[in-house]
Amino acid sequence: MGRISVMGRWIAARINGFGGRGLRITFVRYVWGGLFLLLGGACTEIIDVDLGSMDSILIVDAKLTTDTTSHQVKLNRSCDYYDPDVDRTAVVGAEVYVLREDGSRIDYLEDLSSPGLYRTAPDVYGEIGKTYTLHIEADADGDGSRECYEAESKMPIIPPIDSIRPMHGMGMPPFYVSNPSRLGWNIMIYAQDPPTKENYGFSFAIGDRVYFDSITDIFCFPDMFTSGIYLAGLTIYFFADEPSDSTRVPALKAGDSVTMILYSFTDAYNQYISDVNEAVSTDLPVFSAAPSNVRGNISNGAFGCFAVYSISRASCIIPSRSDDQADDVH
Amino acid sequence: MAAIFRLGCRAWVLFWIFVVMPFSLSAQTFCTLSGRVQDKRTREPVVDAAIWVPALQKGTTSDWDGYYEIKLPMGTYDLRINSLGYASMDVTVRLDKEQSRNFFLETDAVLLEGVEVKGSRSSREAQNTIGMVSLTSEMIQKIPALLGEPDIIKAVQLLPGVLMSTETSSGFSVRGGGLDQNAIILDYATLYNPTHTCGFFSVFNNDAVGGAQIYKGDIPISYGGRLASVVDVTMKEGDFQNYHLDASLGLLVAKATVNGPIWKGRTSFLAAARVTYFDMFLPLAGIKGTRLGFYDFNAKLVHKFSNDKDKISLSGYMGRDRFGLESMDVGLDYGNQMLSLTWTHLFSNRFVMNANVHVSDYLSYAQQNTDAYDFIWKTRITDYVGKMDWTFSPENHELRFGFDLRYHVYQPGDLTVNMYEAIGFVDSNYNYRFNQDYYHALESGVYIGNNQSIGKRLLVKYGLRLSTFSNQGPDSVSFFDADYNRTDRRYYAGRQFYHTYWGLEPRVGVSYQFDYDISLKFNYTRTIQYSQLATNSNSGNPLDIWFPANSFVKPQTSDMLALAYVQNFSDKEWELSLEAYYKFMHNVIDFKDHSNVLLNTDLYGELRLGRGWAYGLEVYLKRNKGIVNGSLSYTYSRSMRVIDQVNDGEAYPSPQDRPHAVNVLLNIEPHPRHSVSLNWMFYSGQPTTYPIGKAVIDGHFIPIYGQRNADRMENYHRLDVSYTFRSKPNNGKPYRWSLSAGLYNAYARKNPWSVSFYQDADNPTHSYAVKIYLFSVVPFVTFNFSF
Repeated sequence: MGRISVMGRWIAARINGFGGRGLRITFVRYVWGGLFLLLGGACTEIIDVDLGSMDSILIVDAKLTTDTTSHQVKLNRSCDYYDPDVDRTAVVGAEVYVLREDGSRIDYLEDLSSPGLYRTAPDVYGEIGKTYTLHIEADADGDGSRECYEAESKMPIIPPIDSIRPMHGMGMPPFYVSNPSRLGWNIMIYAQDPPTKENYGFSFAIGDRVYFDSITDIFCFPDMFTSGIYLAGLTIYFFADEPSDSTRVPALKAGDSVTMILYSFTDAYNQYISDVNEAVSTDLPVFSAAPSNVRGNISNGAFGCFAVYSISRASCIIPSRSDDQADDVH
Repeated sequence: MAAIFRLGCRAWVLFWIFVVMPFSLSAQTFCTLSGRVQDKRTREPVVDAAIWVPALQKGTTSDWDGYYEIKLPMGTYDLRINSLGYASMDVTVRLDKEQSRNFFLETDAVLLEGVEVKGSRSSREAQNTIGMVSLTSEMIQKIPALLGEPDIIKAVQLLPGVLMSTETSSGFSVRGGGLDQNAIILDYATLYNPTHTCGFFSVFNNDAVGGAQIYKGDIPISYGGRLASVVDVTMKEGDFQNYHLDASLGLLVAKATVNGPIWKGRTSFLAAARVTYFDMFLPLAGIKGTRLGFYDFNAKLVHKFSNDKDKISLSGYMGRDRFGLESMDVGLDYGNQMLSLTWTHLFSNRFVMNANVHVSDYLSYAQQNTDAYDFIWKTRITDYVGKMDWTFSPENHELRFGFDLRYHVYQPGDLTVNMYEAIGFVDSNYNYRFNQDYYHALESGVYIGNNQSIGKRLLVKYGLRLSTFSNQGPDSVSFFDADYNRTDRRYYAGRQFYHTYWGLEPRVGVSYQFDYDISLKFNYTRTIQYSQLATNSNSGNPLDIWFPANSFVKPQTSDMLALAYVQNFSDKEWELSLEAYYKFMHNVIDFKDHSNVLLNTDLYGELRLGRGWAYGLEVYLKRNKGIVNGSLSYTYSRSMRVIDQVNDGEAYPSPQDRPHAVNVLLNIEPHPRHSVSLNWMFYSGQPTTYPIGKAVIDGHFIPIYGQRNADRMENYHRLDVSYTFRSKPNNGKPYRWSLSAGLYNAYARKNPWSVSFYQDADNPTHSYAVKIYLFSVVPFVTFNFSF
């Protein structure tokens, strides 16, 4: 497997991403779209649908990463689908902590200025290969007594990024379009993908501003096609000189400091991201499977995920266009 | 031992009474009159023509190929030959020896009857089968069709107990069964995807259809491999005497059919082509660079040998759907093709043999071609089939036996990526393949059955089909534990058969004819299905994948009990039928939550097995004659499932569960040149799963769902209207024409095709539901011309 095959695998991964959804969406949007327009247009109408209701369950959004920072857990209750008053769903007065393998405790303390938010001290960090167990005691169903919830997760390994380099020109696959006037900056990564199975995600920062780090924006990349391979200059982002609204990727200018942020997720969190994206996508339901609930890793019927993930970063400075050879910075 | 002997004796006595005795009781003073009833103009066989001897109050009917046979005492008789849509014919026959007479009936343009379905009630099989109907292309022509294109599958969807899966779809569910449980057959060959343009049209060009028989569950033993129903379509034979040209021009489809003799009286041909020209209108709608449409060809060659005992026919079908978008360089093509060779031999008029070999192939592929790279994804299933079938019809019996052998090659998914151009550091001419394993399997069936009259009122049928299904290597097979975790993966090298299922499919029925033209029928049918469809949708689409049963996925089986009450009034002018059924289905397949069937190397791991049951009551009233004729049907039915790990293992309605269904079809024919058709249908809303709550994550609303299919979309109903104006029936000219115009969904009902829930982008704390409906009112015009 040389570096060439990485490209094919990359394309395959894109096509195959999230259960072949890429292929399906292409089909749905363009082919069916054409057919409907032809026949007078598929019409849409906002309708009133009476929906059932359910007993409230606990919604957990918990994170612990390898960064040294104040990690957060957010606790809410589920509510009726049409209920607009989502702020009152915060779960306050809960006890939240994470146990390390050695039995020591990381406490998440309630942030009194922000209901439902629990934070660690700012000097906390997770270690690769260590297992962490989340414990929550909270009253989600509103009966006055607290229920117990648990989740366990092991910090996944992550390779260091050797470097990233900018290259100006046409977008390279999978960002390639056959339009020679669409030029921009390819940000290419150099790193060794370990032979074990990893679930990667990418976001980036320009200067201090982080882009695409929310759960619906993170660019996920399963390593089934690159496992064990040296990624020798794979384009992971393309910044067009004339940005289009659909990609929401800003243009770069000389002197910008670009930081690629690589995440390595656990299987459970990767699946959770995929499920959440499936749930919020606007894919035509006829082409997707029967609606299914998002799968998480919290016990006792709670919704959500205890996300334990590692982070690796690398930066480069965008050179002026006369000087395409950038110095890479680790 | 003695008990076994006694049992054996009793069985032998029963066999003698019911089977042997009736054979040996034929009287010597009787002579047989036999022959064929045919259309005078086209020489097509006339099915179910009644040959009636008023003097003896005795009669018979022609069979599927137009052949009839009747045993009469020697003498001279006046015969009357009748068939729906034909002028009746009176002939005198002097019978002093075995005699063969062919009758040629003339179309009765004034009294063109036959509504949407003509129950071929008089033949023995029809009399003794519950839920069987015959259709001819003329009947199909009269139903108001979407965009003016008559379609056999749309006609099938009007029958009680048959539910259209979604708006416009050519997929359908029969008595609570799945979309893949219907055998769609053209001249013996199975067509795996019977749709064009994802269901807007079916693969059947009505001008090339001779006729069709539809079985809604009480499936004759000669058919196997599908649980719910059979739609057996016969391609039209060319005229052996004269040349004909039929052409039609609709809003979106143009078609032409040529047929005639190659060797007069001996060899005929038929060729039919159909093509769409949607694409031409797309730029008018502001859509550029889009390829959209389909074409198909039907061809048939028939040769009759001079001994009048042998006939060979070769038929072929080829269809392709082509979608594409130039700006994206993407395309999706799919289609069926088949080639079928049949030899019919008459040992005597009572003993017929049909031998058939055919190849059937379904291919679907999606591709993207850019200057730099391309990818091609494809799925395919190919069948190589040989079939022998004998029908022996001594007095009071119709004994049918035979066998079939099917070799299936399944190709569930195959992705190829090719790099053509060097870009940056990437070399050209790189290629990459991602394959799912091919599956090979041999399916066989051996069957024997009899349809027997006992006295004048009782008809019984009993038959047994033995089917086998063997998986063949090379193949790698995953093994799963009870929780569907993969425990092992075994590789079977070489061409060995590594796993075999076999199953017995008994099919029995009894029908009793009371006075006042009342009959009561009861039957039990077992069917087994070895090939399954992996689909994520309710409507059927080109990304669906066929795959075989194996050691993990057991074949689906169905046991159905059905009871029918049929009564005719006023000399068969009115027909009323009541049918009830209960069906148990075993090894029913569904997909686990978040399943992925595309490009999944472990497709079987996505499946979940369980059981299902369906029951229903169908009421059908039909008027066959008169200026106002038509039919009215109401169906109450339920279809439920219990599947491991789906809906927490609790019962839930299957996607085909639509409790109430009403169908009204009215033909108003006040004048031979004018007719109006109205079709109104109503279905309970489609089962669906709506959210019962939500979680808010990063500001996004994530729906939380309750029980599977616990909700229903709005009820479906619509009215279609069409008006046809045609040339004078006897205009003295060698051509005829007709002009049809109509409205699909005449009162512009916004029937839901899907319902989705969205978070309001402008006001993120609010969410709302959006209904997609495909059509408001759609007008159509079609001009038909025949020469």
